[in-house]
Amino acid sequence: MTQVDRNEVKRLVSQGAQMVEVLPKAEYEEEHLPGAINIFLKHLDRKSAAQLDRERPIIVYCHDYQ
Amino acid sequence: MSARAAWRLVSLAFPQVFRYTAGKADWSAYGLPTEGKSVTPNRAGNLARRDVPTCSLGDRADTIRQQLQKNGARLCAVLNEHRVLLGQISAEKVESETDGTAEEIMTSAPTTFRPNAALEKLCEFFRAHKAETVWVTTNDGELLGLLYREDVQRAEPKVEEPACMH
Repeated sequence: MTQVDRNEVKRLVSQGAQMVEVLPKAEYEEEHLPGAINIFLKHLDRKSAAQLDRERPIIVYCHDYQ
Repeated sequence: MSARAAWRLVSLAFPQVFRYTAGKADWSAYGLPTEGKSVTPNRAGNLARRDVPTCSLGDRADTIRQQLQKNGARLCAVLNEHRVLLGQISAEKVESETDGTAEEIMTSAPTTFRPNAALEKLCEFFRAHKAETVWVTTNDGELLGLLYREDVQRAEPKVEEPACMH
């Protein structure tokens, strides 16, 4: 697992990376990064992760350094 | 939270997992676009004017005065080589002190807002400080623009007595 900053996020997204916000749905609905999907941490398991493409990079984020 | 999520994906054998450590707060603090129900164009970053006169610490007062006159502006931002806002110089200052450098005549560390600051907060600031302008910078202090009270007032929902006027 690699930690990235915003410039690296932009670069990865331009290359097809998927973004996952792991905050609760209500917070995701209020505001999220463009194109990000929502999988709340408590709901992150084999089943919910199946919607992600294994061939592409995945960037996970929450609100800040939590 | 994102650390645990990233490691969980690693445990599920996803080969390319990255963690954007600074997260959503960092993204919006740089004025980058977001989506969602609470996203509004009425934020500091969208309302700030970008065509602001700027100068360096070593620039002379007379050069700055000419630049302000040319732009019809009342304030000049003093920036370093990283575009970090170090100070501000008013038109009145360069008219009264014609001989110094920006570093000698500037007002250091002016108040700033992040680009994701909401309209209500901006109104509150203008009301409390009787200010006409405030700078907008990123978390790293990099200048994005200058926000005018009149632009914030214009963006306010139409009510009889806008909060910015109080």
